[in-house]
Amino acid sequence: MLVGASAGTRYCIASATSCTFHVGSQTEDSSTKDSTGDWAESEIVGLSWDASTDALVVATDPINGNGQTAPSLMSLMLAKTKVYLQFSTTSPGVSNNRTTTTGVQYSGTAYITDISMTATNRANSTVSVTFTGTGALATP
Amino acid sequence: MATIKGQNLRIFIDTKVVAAATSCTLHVSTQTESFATKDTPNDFDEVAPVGLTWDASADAVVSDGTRLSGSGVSCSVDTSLSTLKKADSNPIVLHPGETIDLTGSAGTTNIGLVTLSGSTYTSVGYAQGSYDYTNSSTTDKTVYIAAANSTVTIAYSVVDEDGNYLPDLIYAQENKTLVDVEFAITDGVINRDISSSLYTGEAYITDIQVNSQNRAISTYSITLTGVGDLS
Repeated sequence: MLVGASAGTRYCIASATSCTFHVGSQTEDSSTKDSTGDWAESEIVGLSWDASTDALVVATDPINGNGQTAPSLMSLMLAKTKVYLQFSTTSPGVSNNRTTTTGVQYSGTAYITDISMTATNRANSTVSVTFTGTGALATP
Repeated sequence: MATIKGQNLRIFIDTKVVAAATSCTLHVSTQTESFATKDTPNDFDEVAPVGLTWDASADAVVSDGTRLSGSGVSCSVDTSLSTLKKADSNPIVLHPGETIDLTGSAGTTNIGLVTLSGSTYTSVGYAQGSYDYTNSSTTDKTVYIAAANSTVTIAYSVVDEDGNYLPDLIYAQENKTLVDVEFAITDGVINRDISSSLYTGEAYITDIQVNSQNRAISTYSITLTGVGDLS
């Protein structure tokens, strides 16, 4: 997952351990007395998307200094910055798995709506970040 | 890779660390509202941030802050009222912020503490009957209990004055105290020196839950709800 304040400055989440991409459809029941059988019928009335990532807490990106860290994501959130997000496959082993490929790519704009930073004794500190999409999702 | 270990991220309440903590969490949340209208060119929702909230929580072991205690220190030493000599051969290490309280048995004259360098004793301080001393430096201090008259017994306890324990936090919650909260990276002798402050704000203690299972260490969880901005 790549995140940035503009489309041209999206960087990978540094030290990420997982990321999730989710698209949802809102439906409304359109069953009427004219519907045949007892099965419900529905129509899609809206779409939404969100993403999330878990990462180790690092003060600075240990790879090339550009990656998004817990502090940089927190700064974007507190400033209510609309971020540009890309969920993409990457080339294994190329530039620490940070070179994107065209296999699977989804992008859009979002707000960071949740950050939770946890520090457990005798463990690595971790951060969980949630992004709520605003506007359309661009698909390959 | 310079990951930050969990033990080096701590929560401070009114400048004192949550003592004996096992974990802590900082959570920030953005409220959004949908503004999708009939003019929105596709089926995707459009949202805008309308508010921010934050909260913090910690889990810790229940303790009253007493790290060491003992009694029955007896001595037979120099009888000068102003000259103390080591009464007990066991050194006591005071961590930064710790206080040692000494109480002498009936008939005790001056009791206090000395430090030892080589074979030289240096008085830290003394008082008649009872004495307490706080290590206000940033390093450990090794002291020995000392007395001025013979055959006394001295009870002692070493208490952490530099941390928030369960009674302190319940008191703040009951009094609806608005506390200063700091989420910081720490290091130092007992991992309480702030090497980098990350986020600060004010909060109320809104939840404390104490758990005491049979045959287990008692623990508690505390939740602080932010008031105003987190910076």
